[in-house]
Amino acid sequence: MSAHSFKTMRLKNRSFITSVVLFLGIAWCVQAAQPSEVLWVDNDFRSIPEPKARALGFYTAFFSSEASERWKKATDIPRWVRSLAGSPRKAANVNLADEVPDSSWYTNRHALRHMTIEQLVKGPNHGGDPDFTHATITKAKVEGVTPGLQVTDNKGENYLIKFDNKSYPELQSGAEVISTKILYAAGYNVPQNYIGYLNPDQLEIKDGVEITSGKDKRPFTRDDLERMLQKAAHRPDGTYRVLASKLLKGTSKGPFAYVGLRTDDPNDLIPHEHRRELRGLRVIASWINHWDLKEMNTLDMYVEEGGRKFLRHYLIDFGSTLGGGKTPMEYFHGREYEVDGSSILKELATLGFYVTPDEKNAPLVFPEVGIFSAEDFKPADWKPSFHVMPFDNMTDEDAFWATRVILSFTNDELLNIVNTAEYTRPEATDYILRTLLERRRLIAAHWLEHVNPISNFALDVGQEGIALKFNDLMVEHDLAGPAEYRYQVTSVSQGTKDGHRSKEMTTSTRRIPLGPAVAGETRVKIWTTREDFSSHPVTVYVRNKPGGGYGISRIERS
Amino acid sequence: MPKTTKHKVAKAFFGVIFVALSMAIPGNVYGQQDEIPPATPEEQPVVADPASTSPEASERIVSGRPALYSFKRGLHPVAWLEAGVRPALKLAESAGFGNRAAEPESKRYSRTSGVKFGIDGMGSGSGFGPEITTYNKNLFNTGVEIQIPLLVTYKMYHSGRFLVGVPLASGGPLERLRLELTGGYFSRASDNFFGIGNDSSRWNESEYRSVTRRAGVALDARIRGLGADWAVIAGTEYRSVGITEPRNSVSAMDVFSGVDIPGLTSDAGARIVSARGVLQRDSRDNPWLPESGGVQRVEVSLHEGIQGGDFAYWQYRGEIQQFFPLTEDRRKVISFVGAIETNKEKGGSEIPFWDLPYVGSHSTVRAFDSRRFVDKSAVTATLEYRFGIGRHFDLGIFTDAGQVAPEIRDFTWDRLHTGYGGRFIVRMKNHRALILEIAHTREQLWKAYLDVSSFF
Repeated sequence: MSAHSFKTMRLKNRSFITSVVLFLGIAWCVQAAQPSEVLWVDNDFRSIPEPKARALGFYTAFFSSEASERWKKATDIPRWVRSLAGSPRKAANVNLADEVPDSSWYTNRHALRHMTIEQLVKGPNHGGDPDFTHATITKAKVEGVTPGLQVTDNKGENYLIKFDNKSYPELQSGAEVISTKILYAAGYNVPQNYIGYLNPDQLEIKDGVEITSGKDKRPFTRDDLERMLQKAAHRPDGTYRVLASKLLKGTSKGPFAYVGLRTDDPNDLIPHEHRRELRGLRVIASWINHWDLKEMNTLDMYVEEGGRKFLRHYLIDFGSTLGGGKTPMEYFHGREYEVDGSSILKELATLGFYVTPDEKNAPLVFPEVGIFSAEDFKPADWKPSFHVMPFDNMTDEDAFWATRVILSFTNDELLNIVNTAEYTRPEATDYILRTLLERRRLIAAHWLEHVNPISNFALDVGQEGIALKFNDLMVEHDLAGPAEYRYQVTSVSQGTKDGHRSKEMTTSTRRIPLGPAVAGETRVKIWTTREDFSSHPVTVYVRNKPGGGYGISRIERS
Repeated sequence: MPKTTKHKVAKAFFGVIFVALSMAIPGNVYGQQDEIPPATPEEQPVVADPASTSPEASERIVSGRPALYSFKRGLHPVAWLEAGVRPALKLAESAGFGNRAAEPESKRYSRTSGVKFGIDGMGSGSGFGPEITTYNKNLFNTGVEIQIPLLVTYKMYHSGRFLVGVPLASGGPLERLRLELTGGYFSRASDNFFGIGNDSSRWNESEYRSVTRRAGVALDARIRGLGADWAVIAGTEYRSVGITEPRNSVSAMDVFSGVDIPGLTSDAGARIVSARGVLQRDSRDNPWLPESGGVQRVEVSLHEGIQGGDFAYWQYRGEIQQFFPLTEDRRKVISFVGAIETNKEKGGSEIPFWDLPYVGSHSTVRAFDSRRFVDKSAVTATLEYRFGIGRHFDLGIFTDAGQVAPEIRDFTWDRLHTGYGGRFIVRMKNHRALILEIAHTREQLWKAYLDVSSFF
């Protein structure tokens, strides 16, 4: 090798090392340069020009969710590398408190801003219950999977009306109302769904209402209404219990996509597959068995609020949740994808002798409840019918966030929510409540088991000084026995980079004394040790505020 | 340092800086809000309210869209594939293809009269093609049904048929009794012929073309009872069959010029009058993809040539199909399908070769050439194990066997032609199916069949 080659090699090596150092330096600087304030509103409410409606048919949605996005994921090499390194991509819309800020997608409600029972029962509904005396039918659909009516009530409000199946009274409407309240309290945008009561004799048909019959259109008549009602559940007094869904305000712009960005929405900066509220929805959906989460059950509405026009993003159609549907849902829902590669391979390999969830049945609990149970519910194995990419991206932190959301409901609050379904049979209410509680227990036990389950951090300033308090969700919800908490406190004085690091200490209480005062920033790193499991640490940053006092400025889960 | 090396090092240097920045900068850049909101319900909005932020506020959890996000997604090969497939998907959606497939047949063709489009074939070796059927189910409110299907396959087989059904009686167990008038023109561009016998050589492969005109009348009674649908059919038919040389392949007339083959080398073509009787019992749960029940059918017919040769013969045919579900949900089914046919000359007359039974077709022994073995008697059987995979697919593993011989008593076990293969079945709504079959025999490594007729 010539001297010149040696020299070139040396230079190259030096440049490489310098570059790596610079790379790390830049990355560290950018990381260090992040401000430490917590953002609670992600302001995506800015006025935008009216976007075009996104048309999405079943085949396009199916191909996207079951083929193209799956293949893209399978060929995403950085994703594989991150997965192998045990460092999956974190959600992009998480603030320094490890929470999701309010946005046009999500509003922090019960988990962070405790709602009263009245608020929980009311849910998204406002403006009072519908009044269907002398209501007018303005649109009708008699064909298809879900025939229904559009009705203007006595107060001039417009509702979509869905009837319960004659053989399964209260099934669909009950599920829809309960899940609406739960998803609303969890923070999602959902329609106002009411249980309403219709007397067909008091219904008028607006002139010009037409229905499609084959390829033709013809006027919708009272005979058509009678035929529709023949299949619907009615009450002894001749009235019909219905699910009345108030039309969303604004202009429909079609479903939102689970992957990507809406190019005609300048407010849409975060790839949907990396939104924590969509990733964490997997846990919440598994709780209420909301398997029918295809994109067509989402909706973007172009709304005007506070003088601004923007898109608000909704989840819609929860009639198939719990055990519900037009008829009781089939057993496989929630247990298997519509086209489930894993099951198919197993069946092929065993010449059909592997018994898939599709081949199993479960007993009908009650006609009002359908098939909904906690008996063989495995939170990790829960699946929607179609692949939802944000669910595949869910990290332990996202799951922890969502688990905290569902644990925020007390038993009494849940009972009040279930009561809004107005089941005739008290046993149905009782069964739904018990099943929800048990499923939630299983979910929490699973998703909290391998993470650091401490939460709800608060500062307690007493005579002896400042202490950091927290809850252990496993203990709080009787999922595990007491644990030990190992912690290390690092004090960083203002204007300095290095701090004084204390020795690691251990406590069995959920209160860590920080001393008489905090100057600059104090970082408290906490590990939870339970039996033979030691969790990753949670680091809580405490700072003295400019106006005096102290505050938690950041929570970091690793 | 040489100039080029300097450039390379500088490029690498700035490249690393660029990568570091592009990885680091799109991370979260946080705004200027204060600590975790207090958990007091009164002060907090229940809906994320734009009014709670000032119009000038621009705090976002991220500073912008991820660098090159849409570009990278658009560059992915799958995105190109998706872009290519999407127009077809949208076309299918706009045409209501899925909706129509989901409709029961009674609803799909609920109109009394009209035109329906489908895909069908003309039997063994014909391929498939578009079929247009003009129909009227209640002509002049008399209950008379007329259908006129016109079919052209991609192998240029074509037919024009008509069917007129005149209702005579119904009620009680008699579902219907009707008089059927049928007729049509059938042009088969080419059919295989390898000679007669169970050992005919593939070296003798040749083809012939046929044109058949038919007209018939029959009484068709459908009776429901004893757990099945029964059909009793009695009728008579006139056929004019012409045999000619194929257009672009080796002619059977040339290959077998030295052999006496009735209907081919002598008296090519004939006019025949037939009388036939059929008794059929059908207890299948679904004709397209049966999971239980079966079909038993016997047919006897007498054929008399009236012009073009001394043809007179009896034809006896028996068929059996039986489906045995192994599980309650009928996802695993064993099926047996068998058929036997024999033809007997009447007096000293002959049987035209084109009316002889054969082995080698989708419905007999797959993966042999079409009409591979021909003789006066034939027996075929298929045994299949079919199981569901997922909710939308089935897989079948089958074995076929068949043999031809001059007489039934000539059948022997050791002369059976056998094959095996698999079927992949896509279940459509309304119990219909798209079926792809692959079969193997000693003569063909594999042969694929696509059955779409049940779907249309």
